[in-house]
Amino acid sequence: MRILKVLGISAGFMLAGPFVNQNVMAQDGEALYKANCASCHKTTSKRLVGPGLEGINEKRSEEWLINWIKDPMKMVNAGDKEAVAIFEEYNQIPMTAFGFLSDAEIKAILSVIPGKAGAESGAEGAVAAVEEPEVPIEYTEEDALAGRLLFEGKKKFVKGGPSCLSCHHVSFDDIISGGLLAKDLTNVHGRLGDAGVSSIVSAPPFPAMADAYKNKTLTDDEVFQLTAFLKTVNENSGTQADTSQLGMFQMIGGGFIGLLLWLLIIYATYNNRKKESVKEDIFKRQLKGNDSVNS
Amino acid sequence: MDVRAQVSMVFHLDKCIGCHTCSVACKNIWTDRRGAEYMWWNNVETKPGTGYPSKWEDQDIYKGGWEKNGNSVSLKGAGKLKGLKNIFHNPHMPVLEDYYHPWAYKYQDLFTAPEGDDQPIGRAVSLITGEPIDIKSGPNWDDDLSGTPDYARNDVNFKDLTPSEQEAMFQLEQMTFHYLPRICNHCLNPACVGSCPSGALYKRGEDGVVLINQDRCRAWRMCVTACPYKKSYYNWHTGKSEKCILCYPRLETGQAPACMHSCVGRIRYLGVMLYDADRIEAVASCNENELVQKHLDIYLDPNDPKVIAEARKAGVHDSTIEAAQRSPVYKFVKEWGIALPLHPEFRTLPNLFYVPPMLPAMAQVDGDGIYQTASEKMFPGIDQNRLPMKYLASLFTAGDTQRVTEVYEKLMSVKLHRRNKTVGDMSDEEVKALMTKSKVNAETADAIFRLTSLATFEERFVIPPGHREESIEMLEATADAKGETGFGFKMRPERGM
Repeated sequence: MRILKVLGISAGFMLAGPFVNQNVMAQDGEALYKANCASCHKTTSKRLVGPGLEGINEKRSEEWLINWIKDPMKMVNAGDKEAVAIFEEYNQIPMTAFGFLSDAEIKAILSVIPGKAGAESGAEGAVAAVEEPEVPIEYTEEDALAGRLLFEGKKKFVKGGPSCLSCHHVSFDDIISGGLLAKDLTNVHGRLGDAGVSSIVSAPPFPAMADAYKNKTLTDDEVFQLTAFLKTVNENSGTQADTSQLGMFQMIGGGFIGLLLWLLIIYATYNNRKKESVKEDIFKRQLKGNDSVNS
Repeated sequence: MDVRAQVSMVFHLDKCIGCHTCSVACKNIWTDRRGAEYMWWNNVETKPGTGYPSKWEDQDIYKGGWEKNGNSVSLKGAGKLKGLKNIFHNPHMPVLEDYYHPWAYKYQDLFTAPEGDDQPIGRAVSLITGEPIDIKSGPNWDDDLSGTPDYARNDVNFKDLTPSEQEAMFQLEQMTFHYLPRICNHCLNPACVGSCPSGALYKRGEDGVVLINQDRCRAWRMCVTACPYKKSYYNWHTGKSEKCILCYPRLETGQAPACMHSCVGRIRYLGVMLYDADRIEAVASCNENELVQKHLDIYLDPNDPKVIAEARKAGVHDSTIEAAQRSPVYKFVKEWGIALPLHPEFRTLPNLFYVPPMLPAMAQVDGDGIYQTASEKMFPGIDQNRLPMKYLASLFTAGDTQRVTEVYEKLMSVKLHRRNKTVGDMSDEEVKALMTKSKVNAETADAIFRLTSLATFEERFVIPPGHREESIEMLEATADAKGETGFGFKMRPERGM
């Protein structure tokens, strides 16, 4: 976790390098928002990965927001009640720290977030808070299959990003166990939905992932196909045996049975060995040195 | 026919007094080393008894020797498949306690102990760990102890005797024992050689001595299991197995092996035998009742011109053939037929033969419970031998009592003949009847008597010339002959053996 954090921060520096500028303009705020926040947060009240940010400027003080964005875990650890409440609400998954953003940049970002619905935010050039219709996207089986090939790395990403499987695991049919470096993605679609998955895939908010896909962003088609695949995986997860757990169980159980069998073979093969001296009976009846002294 | 020479031995058990001089001579020369403390390449056992290592004759325990397998033989406890199965865990090995835990005494304490109320004693300390130990047994723990429940009554050779026959042996007046000195038999079909996965054991071509190459031995210890006589020992210090080498450095310089040279009772005879190596497999795999006869048949008559010609063709040197013709072993084993191999049923075709002990029945309790100090005759019949024929047959003829009886009849003939000749108080008819029955004429009886009791050193040990130590020295130690002319070998001498 710590390593990820460090990695994340350094990756973040590299990503955000061009944006570090004291003279931050409002339009920069929009760009910064898209680059850093949009993959997890909507500007509406809808939840994506993290909470929707509509009206956040009214809900929290600016100072609180700056501190939170720079280092959320610091606040959680410091025991800030609101911070802890959010941390708990989101299953203790910490928000990425954006320590590399300057106060001015954060202010710029905050300035583009609209106020509560209906209320005039007062901010110029706010990101249009368009309510996306919750119409389920239709995926074909071909899309899912193409996604699977991409996931497994059997088909290369156009810009050469690494395959998902190298870091992520999904329990799906006969896909081999994936990496353990990052989260199990079996049910990710269930948690995040089409929008959440595709936004993370297209602009990864996680430092390690962002670094891995830096300059290798996925094409829209690829994002679509992967999302389709992950949806399929989630839908089928109920019928999938948990291969990672099963594998462990099989290994331990099989190992134990194998050991028993092996011991049995050794016992059957070598049990007729000569186990003791032929004089053992004589020795047993002999007096020990101390016995003869005492008696 | 593939004629080869074999240095063979005869031990005359009637003459063995059980003094262990042979064992000590051997120990002092060869096994007085770290890791070899427990080894007795030569040992003397009291029979009936369990021997050294304990119960070595019981192949159900130790899995030694060969088993008949169709027209061939296979090792009982080793071999290709069994050897592979057991190569990392040899399951039928004798453990140290089966031999004995060797010890010495701390005699130094007798001199260095501080003054006190108690007499200082020499404590027993293990020769292996150096720690004080309780002595539990020794290599001849049952020496002279016939009738002991732990040793004599556990003799493996009782397996064919009924309980009442066994009990009869241990009646107070009937109880007896004899000695059985044992060394490596330098077998014609050695199980140790057959069992070695490293090929470290070999049988010398010129004299048939079985040796372990210490450079090639890899401590698998298959030979320890395979040798039914338990005469291959594992040296725990060097990690190599060792065995009796028949004092080959002495043989090569014309000296008798140390055990034989030192023998107080002069029971040991050594000589060359010629044998047909082509017949080894057939003989080793024949039926048990034919084993002894076929084993003895494999040795060839060294006076037969055909055998001599074949021997020459096979590279046996004339001096070796000549030594074979004078061999005392040939006389005992082949001409007179009074020496038998020990446990031929192990199918290794041993080259050490024993003249069985007479053990006359000097006294016995008759049916009325009356103690008879002597029988009516000077020498009671063989049927009154204190040791049952079945017991002796188990030792020497794989259970063939008839053959043991024949040997005893011959020995008795010699005895009666000599008594009649020197004292003359026997009935001529009786002597003649027995001699006719046992096919021993007066001439043979005298010859047996002479070689048994009056033989000189040269008659007992007919060692073929094999002076290679001397000759190599004279050729290679050039400094000895520096500045001299006209002395020593000009060319490497031809080897006798």
